[in-house]
Amino acid sequence: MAERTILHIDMNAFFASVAQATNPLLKGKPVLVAGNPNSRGVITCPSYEARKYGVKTGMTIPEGKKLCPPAIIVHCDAHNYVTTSLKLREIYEQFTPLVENFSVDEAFLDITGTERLFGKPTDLAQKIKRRIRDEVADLTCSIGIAPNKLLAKLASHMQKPDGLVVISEERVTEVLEKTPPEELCGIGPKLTYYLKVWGIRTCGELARFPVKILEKRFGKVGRYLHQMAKGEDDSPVAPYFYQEPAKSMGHSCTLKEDTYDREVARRYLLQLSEQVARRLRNDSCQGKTITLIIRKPDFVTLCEQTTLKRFTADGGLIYQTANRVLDKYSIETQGVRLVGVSVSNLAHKASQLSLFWEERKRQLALMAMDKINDRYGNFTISWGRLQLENLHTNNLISPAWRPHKKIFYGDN
Amino acid sequence: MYQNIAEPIEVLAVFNKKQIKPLSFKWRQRVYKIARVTQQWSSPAGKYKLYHFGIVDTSDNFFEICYSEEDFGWSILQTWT
Repeated sequence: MAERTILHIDMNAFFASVAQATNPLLKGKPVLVAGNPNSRGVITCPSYEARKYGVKTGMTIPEGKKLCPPAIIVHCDAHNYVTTSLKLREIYEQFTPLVENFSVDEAFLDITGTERLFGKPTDLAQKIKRRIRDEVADLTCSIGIAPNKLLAKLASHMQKPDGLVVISEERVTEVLEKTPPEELCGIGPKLTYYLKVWGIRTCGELARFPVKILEKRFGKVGRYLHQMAKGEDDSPVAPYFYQEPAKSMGHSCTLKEDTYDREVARRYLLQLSEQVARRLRNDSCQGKTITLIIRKPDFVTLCEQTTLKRFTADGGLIYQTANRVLDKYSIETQGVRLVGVSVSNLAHKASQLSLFWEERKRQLALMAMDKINDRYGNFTISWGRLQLENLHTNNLISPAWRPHKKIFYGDN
Repeated sequence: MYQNIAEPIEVLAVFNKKQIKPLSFKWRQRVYKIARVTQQWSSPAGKYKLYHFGIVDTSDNFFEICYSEEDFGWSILQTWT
Protein backbone atom coordinates (compact mmCIF):
# COMPACT_ATOMS: atom_id res chain seq x y z
CA MET A 1 0.00 0.00 0.00
CA ALA A 2 1.29 3.49 -0.87
CA GLU A 3 2.36 5.63 2.05
CA ARG A 4 -0.59 7.26 3.75
CA THR A 5 -0.95 10.17 6.15
CA ILE A 6 -3.49 9.57 8.89
CA LEU A 7 -4.57 11.99 11.60
CA HIS A 8 -6.11 10.85 14.84
CA ILE A 9 -7.93 13.62 16.68
CA ASP A 10 -8.77 13.01 20.30
CA MET A 11 -10.72 15.71 22.10
CA ASN A 12 -9.33 16.31 25.59
CA ALA A 13 -11.73 15.48 28.46
CA PHE A 14 -14.52 16.05 25.94
CA PHE A 15 -17.67 15.86 28.08
CA ALA A 16 -16.16 17.99 30.85
CA SER A 17 -14.70 20.49 28.37
CA VAL A 18 -18.08 20.89 26.64
CA ALA A 19 -19.72 21.41 30.06
CA GLN A 20 -17.11 24.07 30.85
CA ALA A 21 -17.52 25.73 27.45
CA THR A 22 -21.30 25.78 27.88
CA ASN A 23 -21.08 27.28 31.36
CA PRO A 24 -17.94 29.45 31.53
CA LEU A 25 -18.39 29.76 35.31
CA LEU A 26 -17.13 26.16 35.51
CA LYS A 27 -13.83 26.99 33.79
CA GLY A 28 -10.76 26.20 35.86
CA LYS A 29 -12.84 24.23 38.37
CA PRO A 30 -12.79 20.47 38.93
CA VAL A 31 -15.84 19.10 37.14
CA LEU A 32 -17.12 15.53 37.12
CA VAL A 33 -19.59 14.66 34.38
CA ALA A 34 -21.84 11.82 35.52
CA GLY A 35 -24.87 10.03 34.11
CA ASN A 36 -27.09 11.30 36.87
CA PRO A 37 -25.60 13.41 39.66
CA ASN A 38 -28.37 12.40 42.08
CA SER A 39 -27.93 8.69 41.60
CA ARG A 40 -25.13 6.19 41.87
CA GLY A 41 -24.02 6.31 38.26
CA VAL A 42 -20.37 6.44 37.36
CA ILE A 43 -18.20 9.36 36.35
CA THR A 44 -18.11 9.45 32.58
CA CYS A 45 -15.54 12.24 32.34
CA PRO A 46 -13.54 14.20 34.91
CA SER A 47 -12.06 17.56 33.84
CA TYR A 48 -8.28 17.97 33.86
CA GLU A 49 -8.60 19.97 37.10
CA ALA A 50 -10.30 16.94 38.73
CA ARG A 51 -7.80 14.48 37.24
CA LYS A 52 -5.05 16.22 39.21
CA TYR A 53 -6.72 14.85 42.34
CA GLY A 54 -6.61 11.32 40.91
CA VAL A 55 -10.21 11.08 39.71
CA LYS A 56 -10.63 8.71 36.77
CA THR A 57 -13.39 7.78 34.34
CA GLY A 58 -15.49 4.88 35.62
CA MET A 59 -15.21 5.75 39.32
CA THR A 60 -18.44 6.12 41.25
CA ILE A 61 -19.49 9.63 42.31
CA PRO A 62 -18.71 9.03 46.01
CA GLU A 63 -15.24 7.74 45.06
CA GLY A 64 -14.64 10.84 42.94
CA LYS A 65 -15.92 13.18 45.64
CA LYS A 66 -13.70 11.51 48.24
CA LEU A 67 -10.59 12.13 46.13
CA CYS A 68 -11.67 15.59 45.06
CA PRO A 69 -14.02 17.20 47.61
CA PRO A 70 -14.42 20.54 45.75
CA ALA A 71 -15.54 18.73 42.56
CA ILE A 72 -18.71 19.96 40.88
CA ILE A 73 -20.97 17.19 39.59
CA VAL A 74 -22.50 17.98 36.23
CA HIS A 75 -25.29 16.04 34.55
CA CYS A 76 -24.39 14.31 31.30
CA ASP A 77 -26.13 16.14 28.42
CA ALA A 78 -25.93 13.74 25.50
CA HIS A 79 -27.56 16.09 22.98
CA ASN A 80 -25.02 18.81 23.66
CA TYR A 81 -22.12 16.36 23.14
CA VAL A 82 -23.62 14.88 19.98
CA THR A 83 -24.27 18.34 18.50
CA THR A 84 -20.70 19.38 19.32
CA SER A 85 -19.34 16.15 17.85
CA LEU A 86 -21.26 16.80 14.61
CA LYS A 87 -19.94 20.38 14.45
CA LEU A 88 -16.41 18.96 14.78
CA ARG A 89 -17.06 16.49 12.00
CA GLU A 90 -18.24 19.29 9.72
CA ILE A 91 -14.87 20.98 10.24
CA TYR A 92 -12.93 17.75 9.56
CA GLU A 93 -14.90 17.15 6.37
CA GLN A 94 -13.71 20.46 4.98
CA PHE A 95 -10.19 18.99 4.87
CA THR A 96 -10.96 15.46 3.63
CA PRO A 97 -14.04 13.35 2.85
CA LEU A 98 -12.35 10.36 4.53
CA VAL A 99 -13.39 10.97 8.14
CA GLU A 100 -14.10 8.08 10.48
CA ASN A 101 -15.78 8.92 13.78
CA PHE A 102 -14.14 6.42 16.11
CA SER A 103 -16.32 7.59 18.99
CA VAL A 104 -18.14 10.73 20.06
CA ASP A 105 -14.82 12.49 20.74
CA GLU A 106 -12.33 10.75 18.47
CA ALA A 107 -11.91 10.71 14.72
CA PHE A 108 -9.48 9.43 12.10
CA LEU A 109 -8.83 11.54 9.01
CA ASP A 110 -7.04 10.23 5.93
CA ILE A 111 -5.30 13.35 4.60
CA THR A 112 -3.12 11.59 2.05
CA GLY A 113 -2.57 13.88 -0.93
CA THR A 114 -3.93 17.06 0.64
CA GLU A 115 -0.55 18.82 0.99
CA ARG A 116 -1.02 21.01 -2.08
CA LEU A 117 -4.31 22.27 -0.70
CA PHE A 118 -3.58 22.65 3.00
CA GLY A 119 0.19 22.46 3.42
CA LYS A 120 2.17 20.07 5.59
CA PRO A 121 0.21 17.66 7.84
CA THR A 122 1.38 19.55 10.95
CA ASP A 123 0.09 22.83 9.45
CA LEU A 124 -3.24 21.17 8.68
CA ALA A 125 -3.42 19.85 12.25
CA GLN A 126 -2.79 23.33 13.63
CA LYS A 127 -5.51 24.73 11.32
CA ILE A 128 -7.99 22.16 12.69
CA LYS A 129 -7.08 23.03 16.29
CA ARG A 130 -7.56 26.73 15.56
CA ARG A 131 -10.89 26.22 13.81
CA ILE A 132 -12.23 24.12 16.67
CA ARG A 133 -11.34 26.88 19.13
CA ASP A 134 -12.74 29.65 16.92
CA GLU A 135 -15.87 27.98 15.56
CA VAL A 136 -17.05 25.30 17.98
CA ALA A 137 -16.03 26.10 21.52
CA ASP A 138 -12.96 26.64 23.62
CA LEU A 139 -11.99 22.96 23.34
CA THR A 140 -8.54 21.46 22.99
CA CYS A 141 -7.55 18.25 21.26
CA SER A 142 -4.52 16.03 20.89
CA ILE A 143 -3.59 15.11 17.33
CA GLY A 144 -1.44 12.22 16.22
CA ILE A 145 -0.02 12.03 12.70
CA ALA A 146 1.34 8.75 11.35
CA PRO A 147 1.31 6.44 8.32
CA ASN A 148 -1.59 4.37 9.70
CA LYS A 149 -4.49 4.41 12.18
CA LEU A 150 -2.77 2.31 14.85
CA LEU A 151 0.25 4.62 15.04
CA ALA A 152 -1.82 7.82 14.69
CA LYS A 153 -3.86 6.79 17.72
CA LEU A 154 -0.71 5.94 19.66
CA ALA A 155 0.76 9.34 18.72
CA SER A 156 -2.30 11.30 19.86
CA HIS A 157 -2.09 9.62 23.28
CA MET A 158 1.56 10.58 23.71
CA GLN A 159 0.92 14.22 24.50
CA LYS A 160 -2.12 15.40 26.43
CA PRO A 161 -3.74 17.85 26.61
CA ASP A 162 -3.46 19.93 23.44
CA GLY A 163 -0.71 17.80 21.91
CA LEU A 164 0.58 17.30 18.39
CA VAL A 165 2.85 14.30 17.80
CA VAL A 166 4.16 12.97 14.52
CA ILE A 167 5.39 9.39 14.09
CA SER A 168 7.06 9.32 10.71
CA GLU A 169 7.78 6.09 8.82
CA GLU A 170 11.47 6.32 9.76
CA ARG A 171 10.73 6.66 13.50
CA VAL A 172 8.28 3.76 13.81
CA THR A 173 10.78 1.12 15.02
CA GLU A 174 12.46 3.56 17.39
CA VAL A 175 9.14 4.67 18.94
CA LEU A 176 7.76 1.16 19.33
CA GLU A 177 10.95 -0.35 20.78
CA LYS A 178 10.19 0.95 24.29
CA THR A 179 6.37 1.31 24.03
CA PRO A 180 4.45 -1.11 26.29
CA PRO A 181 2.03 -3.24 24.20
CA GLU A 182 -1.00 -2.05 26.22
CA GLU A 183 -0.49 1.45 24.78
CA LEU A 184 -1.65 0.12 21.41
CA CYS A 185 -5.37 0.29 20.65
CA GLY A 186 -6.83 -3.22 20.86
CA ILE A 187 -4.46 -4.70 23.44
CA GLY A 188 -6.41 -4.94 26.68
CA PRO A 189 -5.56 -6.05 30.22
CA LYS A 190 -6.04 -9.79 29.53
CA LEU A 191 -3.66 -9.88 26.55
CA THR A 192 -1.20 -7.70 28.46
CA TYR A 193 -1.30 -10.19 31.33
CA TYR A 194 -0.49 -13.14 29.05
CA LEU A 195 2.29 -11.20 27.35
CA LYS A 196 3.82 -10.26 30.70
CA VAL A 197 3.75 -13.92 31.75
CA TRP A 198 6.00 -14.57 28.72
CA GLY A 199 8.22 -11.67 29.77
CA ILE A 200 7.08 -9.38 26.94
CA ARG A 201 7.00 -5.82 28.22
CA THR A 202 7.54 -3.72 25.10
CA CYS A 203 6.39 -3.72 21.48
CA GLY A 204 10.04 -4.25 20.47
CA GLU A 205 10.10 -7.51 22.43
CA LEU A 206 6.71 -8.52 21.02
CA ALA A 207 7.88 -7.89 17.45
CA ARG A 208 10.90 -10.18 18.01
CA PHE A 209 8.82 -12.92 19.69
CA PRO A 210 8.24 -15.95 17.41
CA VAL A 211 4.98 -15.35 15.59
CA LYS A 212 4.26 -19.11 15.51
CA ILE A 213 4.06 -19.27 19.30
CA LEU A 214 1.76 -16.23 19.31
CA GLU A 215 -0.46 -17.89 16.70
CA LYS A 216 -0.51 -21.14 18.62
CA ARG A 217 -1.69 -19.36 21.77
CA PHE A 218 -4.00 -16.66 20.36
CA GLY A 219 -4.93 -17.96 16.90
CA LYS A 220 -5.46 -15.22 14.29
CA VAL A 221 -5.03 -12.58 16.97
CA GLY A 222 -1.44 -13.78 17.44
CA ARG A 223 -0.53 -12.70 13.91
CA TYR A 224 -2.28 -9.34 14.40
CA LEU A 225 -0.30 -8.83 17.62
CA HIS A 226 2.95 -9.42 15.74
CA GLN A 227 1.93 -6.93 13.02
CA MET A 228 0.80 -4.36 15.58
CA ALA A 229 4.11 -4.62 17.43
CA LYS A 230 5.87 -3.78 14.16
CA GLY A 231 3.53 -0.81 13.66
CA GLU A 232 1.75 -2.37 10.68
CA ASP A 233 -1.92 -1.62 10.11
CA ASP A 234 -3.50 -1.36 6.68
CA SER A 235 -7.09 -0.83 7.84
CA PRO A 236 -8.67 2.02 5.88
CA VAL A 237 -10.25 5.14 7.34
CA ALA A 238 -13.91 4.18 6.97
CA PRO A 239 -16.43 7.05 6.77
CA TYR A 240 -19.99 6.36 7.92
CA PHE A 241 -20.98 5.15 4.43
CA TYR A 242 -18.32 2.38 4.49
CA GLN A 243 -18.86 1.22 8.03
CA GLU A 244 -20.11 -2.24 8.80
CA PRO A 245 -23.56 -2.44 10.36
CA ALA A 246 -23.84 -2.97 14.11
CA LYS A 247 -23.24 -6.52 15.38
CA SER A 248 -25.28 -6.05 18.54
CA MET A 249 -27.47 -3.48 20.25
CA GLY A 250 -27.87 -3.15 23.98
CA HIS A 251 -28.67 -0.92 26.91
CA SER A 252 -27.78 -1.09 30.57
CA CYS A 253 -28.72 0.98 33.57
CA THR A 254 -27.38 1.40 37.09
CA LEU A 255 -30.38 1.23 39.43
CA LYS A 256 -31.21 4.22 41.65
CA GLU A 257 -30.30 1.98 44.60
CA ASP A 258 -29.32 -1.67 44.99
CA THR A 259 -32.44 -3.76 44.94
CA TYR A 260 -33.36 -7.13 46.39
CA ASP A 261 -36.85 -6.86 44.92
CA ARG A 262 -37.41 -8.98 41.81
CA GLU A 263 -40.30 -6.79 40.61
CA VAL A 264 -38.08 -3.67 40.53
CA ALA A 265 -35.39 -5.49 38.55
CA ARG A 266 -38.05 -6.76 36.14
CA ARG A 267 -39.37 -3.23 35.52
CA TYR A 268 -35.89 -2.02 34.61
CA LEU A 269 -35.44 -5.05 32.38
CA LEU A 270 -38.73 -4.37 30.58
CA GLN A 271 -37.81 -0.74 29.95
CA LEU A 272 -34.35 -1.67 28.66
CA SER A 273 -35.84 -4.41 26.45
CA GLU A 274 -38.25 -1.85 24.97
CA GLN A 275 -35.41 0.58 24.28
CA VAL A 276 -33.34 -2.09 22.55
CA ALA A 277 -36.34 -3.29 20.53
CA ARG A 278 -37.12 0.23 19.38
CA ARG A 279 -33.56 0.73 18.23
CA LEU A 280 -33.71 -2.57 16.35
CA ARG A 281 -36.97 -1.57 14.64
CA ASN A 282 -35.64 1.91 13.81
CA ASP A 283 -32.68 0.30 12.02
CA SER A 284 -34.86 -2.40 10.37
CA CYS A 285 -33.00 -5.08 12.32
CA GLN A 286 -34.00 -8.22 14.14
CA GLY A 287 -31.88 -10.32 16.48
CA LYS A 288 -31.74 -13.87 17.74
CA THR A 289 -29.38 -13.92 20.72
CA ILE A 290 -30.48 -12.18 23.91
CA THR A 291 -27.89 -11.44 26.60
CA LEU A 292 -28.82 -10.51 30.14
CA ILE A 293 -26.24 -8.61 32.19
CA ILE A 294 -26.52 -8.38 35.96
CA ARG A 295 -24.08 -6.55 38.21
CA LYS A 296 -24.29 -7.39 41.89
CA PRO A 297 -23.73 -4.82 44.66
CA ASP A 298 -20.18 -6.19 45.08
CA PHE A 299 -19.51 -5.29 41.39
CA VAL A 300 -19.35 -8.94 40.27
CA THR A 301 -20.92 -9.01 36.81
CA LEU A 302 -22.83 -11.96 35.39
CA CYS A 303 -23.75 -12.44 31.72
CA GLU A 304 -25.90 -15.15 30.19
CA GLN A 305 -27.03 -15.62 26.61
CA THR A 306 -30.05 -17.34 25.14
CA THR A 307 -30.53 -17.90 21.43
CA LEU A 308 -34.08 -17.91 20.08
CA LYS A 309 -35.28 -20.06 17.22
CA ARG A 310 -36.31 -17.02 15.20
CA PHE A 311 -35.35 -13.38 14.78
CA THR A 312 -37.25 -10.74 16.72
CA ALA A 313 -37.46 -6.99 17.32
CA ASP A 314 -40.30 -7.30 19.79
CA GLY A 315 -39.53 -5.79 23.21
CA GLY A 316 -42.03 -8.12 24.87
CA LEU A 317 -40.28 -11.24 23.57
CA ILE A 318 -36.83 -9.86 24.38
CA TYR A 319 -38.05 -9.12 27.91
CA GLN A 320 -39.62 -12.57 28.37
CA THR A 321 -36.43 -14.29 27.20
CA ALA A 322 -34.17 -12.19 29.43
CA ASN A 323 -36.58 -12.54 32.33
CA ARG A 324 -36.39 -16.34 32.13
CA VAL A 325 -32.64 -16.00 32.67
CA LEU A 326 -33.23 -13.48 35.46
CA ASP A 327 -35.51 -15.97 37.19
CA LYS A 328 -32.53 -18.31 37.67
CA TYR A 329 -30.74 -15.63 39.65
CA SER A 330 -31.46 -15.16 43.34
CA ILE A 331 -32.12 -11.41 43.56
CA GLU A 332 -33.61 -11.63 47.03
CA THR A 333 -30.32 -12.79 48.57
CA GLN A 334 -27.66 -11.44 46.19
CA GLY A 335 -29.14 -8.11 45.08
CA VAL A 336 -28.75 -6.15 41.84
CA ARG A 337 -26.84 -2.95 41.13
CA LEU A 338 -27.04 -2.82 37.32
CA VAL A 339 -29.25 -4.48 34.73
CA GLY A 340 -28.45 -4.69 31.05
CA VAL A 341 -29.84 -6.42 28.00
CA SER A 342 -28.37 -6.75 24.54
CA VAL A 343 -29.42 -8.42 21.31
CA SER A 344 -26.85 -9.86 18.91
CA ASN A 345 -26.80 -12.26 15.98
CA LEU A 346 -28.53 -9.55 13.97
CA ALA A 347 -30.26 -9.73 10.61
CA HIS A 348 -30.33 -6.38 8.86
CA LYS A 349 -33.17 -5.12 6.66
CA ALA A 350 -35.32 -7.81 8.22
CA SER A 351 -38.51 -5.96 9.01
CA GLN A 352 -40.90 -8.26 7.19
CA LEU A 353 -44.48 -8.70 8.39
CA SER A 354 -45.43 -12.17 9.59
CA LEU A 355 -47.77 -14.39 7.55
CA PHE A 356 -49.57 -15.51 10.71
CA TRP A 357 -52.40 -13.26 11.74
CA GLU A 358 -51.85 -13.21 15.54
CA GLU A 359 -48.22 -12.32 15.15
CA ARG A 360 -49.00 -9.87 12.38
CA LYS A 361 -51.49 -8.06 14.63
CA ARG A 362 -48.80 -7.65 17.27
CA GLN A 363 -46.29 -6.34 14.71
CA LEU A 364 -48.85 -3.82 13.43
CA ALA A 365 -49.52 -2.70 17.01
CA LEU A 366 -45.78 -2.18 17.53
CA MET A 367 -45.57 -0.18 14.30
CA ALA A 368 -48.45 2.02 15.48
CA MET A 369 -46.70 2.44 18.83
CA ASP A 370 -43.47 3.49 17.09
CA LYS A 371 -45.33 6.04 14.99
CA ILE A 372 -46.87 7.62 18.08
CA ASN A 373 -43.55 7.63 19.93
CA ASP A 374 -41.77 9.14 16.90
CA ARG A 375 -44.28 11.95 16.85
CA TYR A 376 -44.71 12.66 20.55
CA GLY A 377 -41.46 11.39 22.07
CA ASN A 378 -40.09 8.12 23.43
CA PHE A 379 -42.28 6.22 25.90
CA THR A 380 -45.36 8.37 25.18
CA ILE A 381 -47.09 5.04 24.68
CA SER A 382 -45.67 1.92 26.25
CA TRP A 383 -46.45 -0.95 28.60
CA GLY A 384 -48.65 -0.05 31.56
CA ARG A 385 -45.98 -1.21 34.01
CA LEU A 386 -43.58 1.38 32.64
CA GLN A 387 -46.01 4.26 32.92
CA LEU A 388 -45.95 3.96 36.72
CA GLU A 389 -42.45 5.32 37.06
CA ASN A 390 -39.85 6.69 34.67
CA LEU A 391 -36.84 4.59 35.48
CA HIS A 392 -34.56 5.72 32.75
CA THR A 393 -33.07 8.96 31.68
CA ASN A 394 -32.66 9.31 27.95
CA ASN A 395 -29.91 11.81 28.36
CA LEU A 396 -27.01 9.41 28.53
CA ILE A 397 -24.48 8.68 25.87
CA SER A 398 -21.95 5.96 25.47
CA PRO A 399 -18.44 7.26 24.79
CA ALA A 400 -18.43 4.78 21.92
CA TRP A 401 -21.29 6.62 20.19
CA ARG A 402 -20.66 7.44 16.57
CA PRO A 403 -22.89 8.59 13.76
CA HIS A 404 -23.79 5.59 11.60
CA LYS A 405 -25.52 7.63 8.94
CA LYS A 406 -25.19 11.09 7.50
CA ILE A 407 -26.53 13.45 10.10
CA PHE A 408 -25.76 17.09 10.35
CA TYR A 409 -25.46 19.44 13.24
CA GLY A 410 -29.08 20.33 14.05
CA ASP A 411 -30.44 16.99 12.83
CA ASN A 412 -29.57 14.91 15.89
CA MET B 1 -24.64 24.46 41.54
CA TYR B 2 -27.25 24.09 38.85
CA GLN B 3 -30.83 24.93 39.72
CA ASN B 4 -33.44 23.33 37.49
CA ILE B 5 -36.29 25.69 36.64
CA ALA B 6 -38.41 24.87 33.55
CA GLU B 7 -40.53 28.04 33.46
CA PRO B 8 -41.82 29.92 30.43
CA ILE B 9 -40.03 33.18 29.61
CA GLU B 10 -40.33 36.01 27.10
CA VAL B 11 -37.39 36.35 24.75
CA LEU B 12 -36.31 38.98 22.29
CA ALA B 13 -34.49 37.13 19.52
CA VAL B 14 -33.37 37.47 15.93
CA PHE B 15 -34.42 34.70 13.53
CA ASN B 16 -32.27 34.93 10.45
CA LYS B 17 -32.31 32.11 7.90
CA LYS B 18 -31.51 29.04 10.02
CA GLN B 19 -29.92 30.99 12.86
CA ILE B 20 -31.62 31.96 16.10
CA LYS B 21 -29.92 34.61 18.20
CA PRO B 22 -31.49 35.42 21.58
CA LEU B 23 -30.74 38.98 22.69
CA SER B 24 -32.55 39.40 26.01
CA PHE B 25 -35.21 37.67 28.10
CA LYS B 26 -37.73 38.48 30.78
CA TRP B 27 -38.03 36.08 33.70
CA ARG B 28 -39.96 36.71 36.93
CA GLN B 29 -40.53 40.37 35.98
CA ARG B 30 -36.84 41.03 35.45
CA VAL B 31 -35.13 41.65 32.12
CA TYR B 32 -31.76 40.00 31.48
CA LYS B 33 -29.56 41.23 28.64
CA ILE B 34 -27.64 38.40 26.96
CA ALA B 35 -23.93 39.15 26.65
CA ARG B 36 -23.09 35.99 24.69
CA VAL B 37 -24.33 32.60 23.62
CA THR B 38 -21.73 30.08 24.81
CA GLN B 39 -23.14 26.94 23.22
CA GLN B 40 -26.08 25.96 21.06
CA TRP B 41 -27.50 22.47 20.58
CA SER B 42 -30.75 20.71 19.83
CA SER B 43 -32.69 17.78 21.20
CA PRO B 44 -35.68 15.89 19.84
CA ALA B 45 -39.13 16.25 21.38
CA GLY B 46 -41.15 13.78 19.37
CA LYS B 47 -41.23 14.97 15.77
CA TYR B 48 -40.29 18.50 16.81
CA LYS B 49 -37.04 19.90 18.08
CA LEU B 50 -35.97 21.91 21.06
CA TYR B 51 -33.16 24.40 20.52
CA HIS B 52 -31.02 24.88 23.61
CA PHE B 53 -28.80 27.88 24.29
CA GLY B 54 -26.16 28.22 26.98
CA ILE B 55 -26.04 31.95 27.67
CA VAL B 56 -24.25 34.42 29.90
CA ASP B 57 -25.92 37.73 30.79
CA THR B 58 -24.23 41.08 31.22
CA SER B 59 -23.79 40.39 34.96
CA ASP B 60 -21.97 37.11 34.21
CA ASN B 61 -24.80 34.82 35.28
CA PHE B 62 -25.25 31.56 33.41
CA PHE B 63 -28.62 30.29 32.11
CA GLU B 64 -29.80 27.55 29.81
CA ILE B 65 -32.80 28.64 27.78
CA CYS B 66 -34.71 26.68 25.20
CA TYR B 67 -36.89 27.37 22.15
CA SER B 68 -39.57 24.87 21.17
CA GLU B 69 -40.26 24.38 17.50
CA GLU B 70 -43.65 22.91 18.41
CA ASP B 71 -45.30 25.89 20.11
CA PHE B 72 -42.77 28.66 19.30
CA GLY B 73 -42.39 29.13 23.06
CA TRP B 74 -39.29 29.87 25.09
CA SER B 75 -38.47 28.50 28.51
CA ILE B 76 -35.66 28.75 31.02
CA LEU B 77 -34.36 25.32 31.98
CA GLN B 78 -31.61 25.98 34.48
CA THR B 79 -29.35 28.53 36.02
CA TRP B 80 -26.07 28.38 37.89
CA THR B 81 -26.18 29.77 41.41
